Amino acid sequence: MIYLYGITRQLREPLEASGLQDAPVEAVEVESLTAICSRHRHLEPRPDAESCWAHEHAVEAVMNSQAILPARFGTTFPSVEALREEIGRRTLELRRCLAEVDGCVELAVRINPLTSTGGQAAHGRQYLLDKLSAQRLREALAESALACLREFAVDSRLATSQSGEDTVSISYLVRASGVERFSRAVGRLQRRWPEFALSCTGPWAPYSFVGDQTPSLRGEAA
Amino acid sequence: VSIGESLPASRRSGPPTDDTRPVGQSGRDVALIDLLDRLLAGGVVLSGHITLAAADIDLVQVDLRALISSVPVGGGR
Repeated sequence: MIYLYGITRQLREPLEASGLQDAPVEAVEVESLTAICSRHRHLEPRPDAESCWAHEHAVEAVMNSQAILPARFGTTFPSVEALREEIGRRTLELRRCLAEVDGCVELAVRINPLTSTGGQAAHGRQYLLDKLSAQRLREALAESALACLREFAVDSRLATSQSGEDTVSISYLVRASGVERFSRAVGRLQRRWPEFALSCTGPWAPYSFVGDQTPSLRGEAA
Repeated sequence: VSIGESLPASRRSGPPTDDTRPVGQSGRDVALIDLLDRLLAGGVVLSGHITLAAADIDLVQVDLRALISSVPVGGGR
């Protein structure tokens, strides 16, 4: 079985990394692209902390020196041939996508109210009103955050979050050279919004900007 | 990993280690949640197989509000 971590152009530097199950990470060239993958006799990817970081570590081994399209966790192929066939079929699309994220990284921003917005109404109309109110607050938060951070990002998307529904989670595509500037902007936003807790993590590979996911919100070239 | 304005110039990556990321445990948890969000909902989807074994997701599906509230912001790590 072949486990896929991501797709990049021809490698500029030798690849030295381990992936899931500590398997050596390999480069499989397909036309002008390179698949970053590992081989396994048996693998059932579990999205636990260890496996997630192993996947990320393999992606970062490439990301440190060149653009990469990270694969969704758990992407496997029965053979190298099947992997080659799929990438070969989508070479143009993947190359275009690589060009779009070249030189950029993803930063994750979370905005979380320090007091609950959801209320504790047991049921009925008040419950729905509370839900609607919380939803509107989240939308307003997202709009404000976008307005404040837009000028520092190339693109931005509302993220699907595992965390509570009070949380607004936005992914920003930022030029690698602009990470510090973006970080300072988040700090300024935090000072302006003391009633919210902001977090910013990254740089990540551009997971949120390489596929058919949440439509782009709005972004401007930094 | 960074909270508030303290996103460092050096890369956040995982798994976190104390020598490379002077952040609190909560910061690491936030990073793990951000990573999970991206790994499970983002990334290129090819027509291979997406295989996910049953996972202990509950371990990281924490109450983020409580978690973040406990983290000093505005320069604290």
